[in-house]
Amino acid sequence: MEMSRRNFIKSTLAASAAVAAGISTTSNAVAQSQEVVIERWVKGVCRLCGTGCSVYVGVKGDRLVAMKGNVESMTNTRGYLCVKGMNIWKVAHHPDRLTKPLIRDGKGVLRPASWDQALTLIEKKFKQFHKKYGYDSVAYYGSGQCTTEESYTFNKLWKGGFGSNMVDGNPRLCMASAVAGYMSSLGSDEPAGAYADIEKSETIFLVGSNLSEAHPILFRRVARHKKDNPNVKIIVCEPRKTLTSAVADLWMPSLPGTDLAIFNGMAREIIKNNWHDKEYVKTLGRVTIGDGSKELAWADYVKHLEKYTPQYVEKKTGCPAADVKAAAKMFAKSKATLSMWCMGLNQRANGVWANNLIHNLHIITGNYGKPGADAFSLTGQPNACGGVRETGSLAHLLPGAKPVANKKWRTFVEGYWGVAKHSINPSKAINPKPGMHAVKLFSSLGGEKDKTKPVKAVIMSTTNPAQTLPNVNKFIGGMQDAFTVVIDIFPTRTAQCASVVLPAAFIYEKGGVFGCSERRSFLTDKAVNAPGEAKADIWIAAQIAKRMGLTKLIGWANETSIDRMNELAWNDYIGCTANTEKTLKGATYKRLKKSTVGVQWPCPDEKNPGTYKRYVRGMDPIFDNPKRYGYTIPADAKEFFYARPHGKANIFLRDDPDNSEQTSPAYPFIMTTGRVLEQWHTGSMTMRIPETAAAHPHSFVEINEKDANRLKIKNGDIVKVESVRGYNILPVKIVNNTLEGVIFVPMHDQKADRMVNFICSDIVDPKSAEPDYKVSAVKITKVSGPKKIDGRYLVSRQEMNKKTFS
Amino acid sequence: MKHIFLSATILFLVTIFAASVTAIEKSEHPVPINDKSCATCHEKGSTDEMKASSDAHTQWDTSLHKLNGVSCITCHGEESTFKPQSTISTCASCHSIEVDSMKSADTCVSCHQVHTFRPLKGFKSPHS
Amino acid sequence: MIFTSAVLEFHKDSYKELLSFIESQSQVEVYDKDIDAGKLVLVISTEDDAELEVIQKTFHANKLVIDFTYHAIHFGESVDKLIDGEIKIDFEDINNKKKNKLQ
Repeated sequence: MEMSRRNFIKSTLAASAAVAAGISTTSNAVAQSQEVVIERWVKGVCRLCGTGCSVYVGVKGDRLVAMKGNVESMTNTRGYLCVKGMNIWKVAHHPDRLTKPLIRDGKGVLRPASWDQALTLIEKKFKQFHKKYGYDSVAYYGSGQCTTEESYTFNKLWKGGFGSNMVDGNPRLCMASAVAGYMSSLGSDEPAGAYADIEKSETIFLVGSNLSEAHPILFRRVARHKKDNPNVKIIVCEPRKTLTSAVADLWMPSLPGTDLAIFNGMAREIIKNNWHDKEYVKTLGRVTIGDGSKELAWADYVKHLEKYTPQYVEKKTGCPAADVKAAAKMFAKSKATLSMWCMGLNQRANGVWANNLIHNLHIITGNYGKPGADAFSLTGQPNACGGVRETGSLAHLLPGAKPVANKKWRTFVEGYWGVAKHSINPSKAINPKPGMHAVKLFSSLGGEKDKTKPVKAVIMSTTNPAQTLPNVNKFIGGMQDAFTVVIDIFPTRTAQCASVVLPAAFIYEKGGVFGCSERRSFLTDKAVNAPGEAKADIWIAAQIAKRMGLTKLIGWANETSIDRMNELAWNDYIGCTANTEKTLKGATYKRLKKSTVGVQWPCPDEKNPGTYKRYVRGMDPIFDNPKRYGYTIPADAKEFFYARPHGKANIFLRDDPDNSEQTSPAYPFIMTTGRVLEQWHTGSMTMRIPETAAAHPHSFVEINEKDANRLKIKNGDIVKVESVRGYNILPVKIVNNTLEGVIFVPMHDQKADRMVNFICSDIVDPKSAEPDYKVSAVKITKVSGPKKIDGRYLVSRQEMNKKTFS
Repeated sequence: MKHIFLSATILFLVTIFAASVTAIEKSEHPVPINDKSCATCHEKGSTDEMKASSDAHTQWDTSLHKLNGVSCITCHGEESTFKPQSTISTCASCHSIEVDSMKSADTCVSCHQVHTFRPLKGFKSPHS
Repeated sequence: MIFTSAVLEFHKDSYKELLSFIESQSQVEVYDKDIDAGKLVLVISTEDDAELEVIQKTFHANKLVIDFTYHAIHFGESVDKLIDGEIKIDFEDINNKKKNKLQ
C-alpha cells in the first residue's frame, strides 16, 4: 500500500474518532468540501412556512442541486435556514412528481391524458354546471402556497368573470381568525410591525405558538435576542412545555381552549396595579362589545374584568395564579412588549375573541406604535398573507382585503376589472353576497344526483383538503362524487378523490411573488424548467379563462412566457390596490426582480423604501396623503388607526365561553394537534425528503406520564385514540412536558389510520369560520405493546386509483 | 478480543471506508439504523445492544444547535445519505457569512468544537 | 496491516508521563489531543488483531489511563481484496454465535 494512501486512511480514522470524541480535528484529510459544482445561484424565497426566508437555489444544468440562505435577508437574518428549508429543493426531482394530466375513467382509474383533453373536459363541465345549477355551483379552493399572481388571477376569473364569490382557500383553516381579529380590533388586517421588532422588544409574549418547531428561524431570532440581552423577558403560554419554553422566563400552562380567561386575568391585574397606559387608552382606545358598533365606558371594561381574578383563572385554565400576576407585570412594565401567536389562538372555536383579547392587552399598555412593540400574528404558509389575504382570495373579500359586501369598493373593483364589459354572468357585476367558507364549501360539495349539495365542481390548487379538513371523513364522499380538479406536484389524498389531476410546476420552476407574515413581498425567479408536461397555475388559469370566453378579462391569458404572465398579473394587482393601505404600487416587477430583500407594504411609490411600522406618522406613508386612501387623519395625530373614522383601536369586552368540544367520562382527554420541526402540513413534500422523513417518519401520541401510568401504558405501546368522529392507531410517546389530561398528535401523517383529522372536531369559530383543530375530546385505549411502525407513508400513484384510504 | 469482533466490524467498516476513502462526500451509517432514533444508541446511558460513543450527543445536548432544532440529521443526513463528517456546504446553509470570512485552508472545526460549536480557546475569530 | 483509531481518556495531570509511555510503543501515534478534556486520539498500526489486542491490554493495564476505546478499524489491503472478491467473509461464523455487546 502506498504511503500517501496509508496516511490518508490513518488521518481519516483519526479525524472521525476526534469528531466522535468531541475533539477539534487538525487533520486536513477530511477538509470539508463543497459537495457539488453549482453553476448559478437563483434568488427566491423558501417554499414552506410563513417566515418568508430569503434563499438562493443552486442550479446545475436544468437541475436544482443546493439551497443557501440569503445573508442580506431581513427575515432569516444572516441567512439562516431550518432543516426543512435547506432541503426543500430535493423534492423538485423526486420520481413521484406528477408530469402528465390524468382523467379518471368510468372504472375509477386515473388515465394519462393530454392537456387539451383535460382542459376540454373542465370547460365542458364548468359550462354545463353554470347553466344547470348557476354560477355558484363551481368553486375555486386555493392556497397560501400559490403565488400572488396565481391567486389574483383565479380570484379575478371567478369574482369578475363568473360573477361568483365561490373562492376560498386553505388560509381559512389557519389565518381567518387573525384576519377577523385585526379587522375588528384595529380596523385593518395584518400586523402593524415587523420581525425587526423582535430585536427591539423588552418582553416577548409567545402564546399559542410552538415557535421553536413551527417557525424555527424566528425562534432563533428570539433566542439570540434573549442570549444577547438577558434582561429581556420571555413568556410562553401554551399547554405543552415545548422547546420554545427553553428560553422562557415564565411558562404559563393552560388547558386547550381556556386561555381567554388568562388574557382577561392579565388585563385585570394590569389595571388593578395601575400599570396601564392611561394616555394611550384615552387617545387611541375605545371600549366596545359585540360587533364593535356600540361604544362603552372604561368603567364597563373594568367591571367586566372583575370576574377574572387570578384564582378564577387558575381554576379555569390550570395556569397558577402567581404566573398570571407575574406575566401581567412583565407584559405591562416593559418598555416594549411584542406578542406573537399562531394556530394555538387562531384554530379555535373562539379564535377571533382570543385575538381580540391579545389586542386588548396591547391597547391598554400602549404597545403598538413604538419599536419593539406589536401584536404579531404568525402565518403558517409562505403566501397566505400576500397571495390570499391581500389579494382578497377568500369568499368574503376583494383585492385589498376589503369585504365584497362593501359597495363602494366593489363598484371600484368592478370598474377596474371591466366586469360590466367582460363578465359571462348576465348580472355583469360582482356578487355582493359572500361565497362559502371552506368548511361550508366542502359540506355543500357533491355529485349531480345529490340534490342537497349545491356545489357540483371545485378546482383545488396546492392544497390537500381530503387530509386537512377537520372531521375529514364527512367531506371525502362529496369530493369523490363531485367534479373535482386537483392541481398539485405529487399524489395526495385529495388527488385520490379527484376527477382530473393536473401536474403543477414547483415554485422554483415558475417564479412568482410570495408575501410573508411581516407584509413583505418577495419575488422568486424561475430557476429551472418544470418536468414533463407540468405547468404553472397561472397558465392553467389562463387556459380556463380562454375556454370560458374571458380572454379579455384576464389580459395575460394569451401570453406564452410565464414570466410575462406573472408580470402582467402583478401589475394588474398592484394597480387595483394602489389606493388602499395595502398598496404595493412602488413594488414594481422591475424593483422586485432586482431586490434581494423584498418590499413591505404600504409602499406607494418606487422611492418609498417600504414600511416597517404602520399607524405611526413618519413611518407609515398613508399619513402623508390619507385622502388618497379614503382616510382622514388629524394633522396632529402621531399614531392613528386610520381604517376607522375615530382612529381608535377597539378594547373588546369578551368573555371566556366554553365553545370547544368538552370532555366527558367517555371521552376524558383533550387532544390538541400541531407541527413537528422536520415536517410540514400533509407531508407531501417533507415526507419525500430523506432527512426530514427519517427524523419524523410517522405520527405518535404524546401523553403525560401520570396519565400513562393510570392507563398502564408504556413508551412505544400502540393505542387507539378515538373521538366520536373517528380514530387513529398510534405509538405512545410518554412526556412530562404537557398538562395532565392533554394529549398531542402531529398532523403530518398520510397513513389512513394515523390521519389525525379523522378525529378532529369540526366546530368552527362563528365569526371567522376557522375550525377548532386545537380542542377535541378523545379517549385512549391500549391496542398492543410496542410494535414496528411502517413509517414515511406516501400516497402512491397506484393508490390514487383506490376509493378507500389505506 | 474475539475473532467474531473483527468479522462483525469488517462488515460495517468495509462499507464506510470503501466509500469514504475513495470519495469522502458520501457514505452510509456504519450499522443499520432500523428506524431507531440517533439517541437510542448515542445518548449517554444507552442500554441498546449497539450502544455507541455518547460524547457527541452529550455535547450537542447543551448546544445552541439543539435549542434551534439543528439535530443530528441536519448535518449528518439520514441512513441513506449519512456522512460521518458534515461538509462545509452544510455549515454554509446557515453560516454563510462566517464561511465566507474564513481563510481557504480553514474548516469550521479548526476553531469550533464540533458538537458544542463553541470556539476553542486561543483562536482569534476571523469572522466580522 | 490493520489501522485502528482509538480514543484514550487520561488523568489530566499525568499527560507528560503518559506521552512518554505512548512514545515507547512504535505502533501507536498521537493524532489529536484535547488536554483540557483529558482525551487523545490515537492511530494504531498493527500486523494483525492479535498484536492489536496486546496493545489494548497494555493500555488497560496502565494506571494513567481512565479509558481506552476503539473508534474505527480499517483493514488495509484486506479491504481492496474484499472489494475485488479475493476474500470472502464467512457469514455463517457470525450468524451461529451469540450477539456480543460492542464497546
